[in-house]
Amino acid sequence: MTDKPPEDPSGGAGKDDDGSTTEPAKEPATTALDEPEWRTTPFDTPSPSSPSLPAVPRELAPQPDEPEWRSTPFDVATPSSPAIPVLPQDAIDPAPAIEPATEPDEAALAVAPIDTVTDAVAETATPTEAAPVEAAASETAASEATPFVEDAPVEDAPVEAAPIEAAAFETAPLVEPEPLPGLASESIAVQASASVAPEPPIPPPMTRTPMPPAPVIAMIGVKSIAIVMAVVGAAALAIRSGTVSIAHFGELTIASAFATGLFAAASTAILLRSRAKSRAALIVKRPRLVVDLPAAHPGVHELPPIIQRVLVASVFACLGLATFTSDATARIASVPDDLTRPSRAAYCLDDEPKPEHEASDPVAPPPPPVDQAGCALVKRAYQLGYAKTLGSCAPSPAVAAAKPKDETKPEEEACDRRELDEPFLHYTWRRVVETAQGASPIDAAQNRADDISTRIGYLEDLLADVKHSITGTPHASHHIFVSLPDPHPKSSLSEFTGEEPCTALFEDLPLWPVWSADAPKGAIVEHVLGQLLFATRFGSPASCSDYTLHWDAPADACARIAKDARGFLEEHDALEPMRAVLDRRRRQAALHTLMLELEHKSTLPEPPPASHVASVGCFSVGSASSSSGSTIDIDGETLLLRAATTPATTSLDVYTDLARMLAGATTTVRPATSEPLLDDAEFPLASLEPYLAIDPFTIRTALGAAELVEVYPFDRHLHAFVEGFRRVYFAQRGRL
Amino acid sequence: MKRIAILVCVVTVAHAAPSRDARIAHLAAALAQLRTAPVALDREIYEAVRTRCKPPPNTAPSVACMIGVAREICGKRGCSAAADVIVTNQHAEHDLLDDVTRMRLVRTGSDYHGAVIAELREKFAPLAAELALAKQDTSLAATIDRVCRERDQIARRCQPGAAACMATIAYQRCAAGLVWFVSTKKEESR
Repeated sequence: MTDKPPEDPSGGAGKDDDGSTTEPAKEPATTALDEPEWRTTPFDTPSPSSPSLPAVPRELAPQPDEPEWRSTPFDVATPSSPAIPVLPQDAIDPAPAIEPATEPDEAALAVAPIDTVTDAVAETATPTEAAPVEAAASETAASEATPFVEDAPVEDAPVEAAPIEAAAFETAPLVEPEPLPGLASESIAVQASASVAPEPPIPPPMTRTPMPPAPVIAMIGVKSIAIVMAVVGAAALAIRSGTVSIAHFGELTIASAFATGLFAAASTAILLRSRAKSRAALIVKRPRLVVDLPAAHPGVHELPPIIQRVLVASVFACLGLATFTSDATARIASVPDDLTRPSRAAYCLDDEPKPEHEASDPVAPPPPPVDQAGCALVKRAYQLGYAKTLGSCAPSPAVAAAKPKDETKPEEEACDRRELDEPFLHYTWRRVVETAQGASPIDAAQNRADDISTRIGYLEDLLADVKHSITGTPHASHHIFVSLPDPHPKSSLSEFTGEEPCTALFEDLPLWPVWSADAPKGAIVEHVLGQLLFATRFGSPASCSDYTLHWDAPADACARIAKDARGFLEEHDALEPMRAVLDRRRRQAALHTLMLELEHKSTLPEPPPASHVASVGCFSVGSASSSSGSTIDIDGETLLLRAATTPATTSLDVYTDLARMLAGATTTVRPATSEPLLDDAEFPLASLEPYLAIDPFTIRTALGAAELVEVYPFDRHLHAFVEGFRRVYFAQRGRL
Repeated sequence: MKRIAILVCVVTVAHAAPSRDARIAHLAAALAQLRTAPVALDREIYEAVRTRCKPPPNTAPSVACMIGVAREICGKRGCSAAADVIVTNQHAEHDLLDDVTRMRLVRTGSDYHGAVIAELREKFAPLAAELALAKQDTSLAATIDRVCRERDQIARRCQPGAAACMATIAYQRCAAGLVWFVSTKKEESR
């Protein structure tokens, strides 16, 4: 290991690789950047200028056609080194010279310790004579390795790699080339040229001395690592998913296996097109990644190419096995047939035979067993244990009635599409003739002109309807004026955050909250209104966006509306939405008429009456329950105006009075009970059972105490009340 | 005339509902009394009600008669709270089990009442699950009282025919069912 630059011991003269003699260089030879060290360092050639240059042994002279590994006598040392003994000629065993140095020789490895040889060379060889190649190679290796190993000093890499390089060095036996013809004349030519040239310093005689090779760090290419990892991952996934299992292989069809093999082979061929080594590798001894290595770096080890192909093919085979199942392969194979199959939309095809389970009429579910008349006593006796069997009174399944033939089913229409065996030109001609038959261009144009003329007459309605749709005019507008403060007073923050949508407000209303004495009555009214109109637990609700609650309204709101409807409604921002709804209704009615004039089937139903889509109501709190009704006129439309007053003593009052204001008189049928009410402190649970039949809306005194309200079975009674109310109310209301 | 009689009766007894603490104490007493031989007491009350109250076909016996029978049975044993739960469950049987189910039980088993108890237990199982998931109060009785009191306040939507869903249930039936469910085991009720 040295930091000094190597010097050319031969003075620059030598031979090229092709064996020709070259002139001695004036300056010491330098190593080309892109050329391997062993090619630019002609330490193995004698200086032609030396008059006493001994004849190069034929065994050591490079030959023109000699492979590089043979023409690189790493094992030749300069004889000028005093510490290195010159090996006698007969000590060289020519036998192993034939074998290349790539095969490791365990015997050679065992001859001498690696460190001994390396140290001996380092101690005995002068930097200028013995170790130019080593030094240059060491620098090259260091310059290649250090930029990517940040925390490693420059000297570290060769030191760590020393055992490996020494081993590699020892695996290369001493090479003695075979005698080659023409060497004598070559030597003569060298001597002749030496006699002309000025005498350079006499190079020391070359001796056979083991020379350490360039330090090479053992690395594993990322390609091999990636392949192994992919194999391991694919195998794990395949085994875990059951793709690689006997059952899966048993279900594999020939087509599926072929597709899998084809996929694996093609993918492998595409992926492994190059046998080049990886340009990035992982250092073995110190697991670090080195990137941007030169191509074919000698230290990078890769799996043999055939092993790589096998492994990559196995990865893709696993993917193929998971992908190309029998069904998938059959579908892929059927793609060409599907593409070329005639479409039912373009051709007249025979009806496809229905599957067997669809060919017959759908099987009706078995009817419930029919209780036979007069068997109640027998059943009761059986139930009480007095009879062992029900006998003829056992429930017998009802016989399903035969389904009558559906005579309303239309006859099959004649197909006028293209026949399978019909030429295209014939089909085209037939379509032209059918189109032209019975059609008069003049009549068609006249009809078209009439249609356009009629539509132009309704142009304003058409445009207004489009405008209503775009601007989102409400589908209905019902305004309820309540003489109570808003239970949700608007805060200044709501100017920025917006108001809570009504759908969220009425989404989860409790069934029957227990209101305290100081509970705001507006909250009770709002809750009851939500239960009556918007709660989904009682069936289809109304749309809360169609309703506007005007809190803090005057107690005589309806009287003032009856006197001056436009003024009062405009004052409370209720007139504009009501007018918009009425206008939208008028436009829809006009378009409905247009469709009738055009003799087209109307796509719009006839709009509901104006009183169904807009209304006004007033709800106030007073001393007693009362209600009244009248009409108002807005833009020529007659609308309902209803008012109700409630004492709001209990929720029951609010329910009944609010229902009366919205729907008028409501009638609900309440089931009567013959169960007497009990007051048994020992059996409080059983004493509540009769309340299941006591309707609090009918018998209001049933809700006497707050304790009873907590446990009263309101659900079935409230269901009956609200459902009865909605039946009446929704018949009076609608939306566009 | 009947309505007037009911109205008079309602006016006289409506304000006599138990308070919350009284309800919880009653449920706690029922839980304690049902720890020992609940099924035997249930069978005893059932047999007595069947023979003495004799309701019309397909109707439940009157509550007053059932309470009277139960009071006689528990007069000396001090099991009135447990008997209240049992009477409530037996009275709710006709509402909780439809005719088809009851006829199936008649047809398929020799012990009709045992089959009814098992079927009711299946009905109460979703309630028990709600009880287990509910926030626990100071005692099991208090939790049962709160769960059953607040249960119907929330709207529940059940698919038609969904066996594991009970949309609504009255307080007394919910409480009696839960007390019975947590006091008995499945094997005992069969």
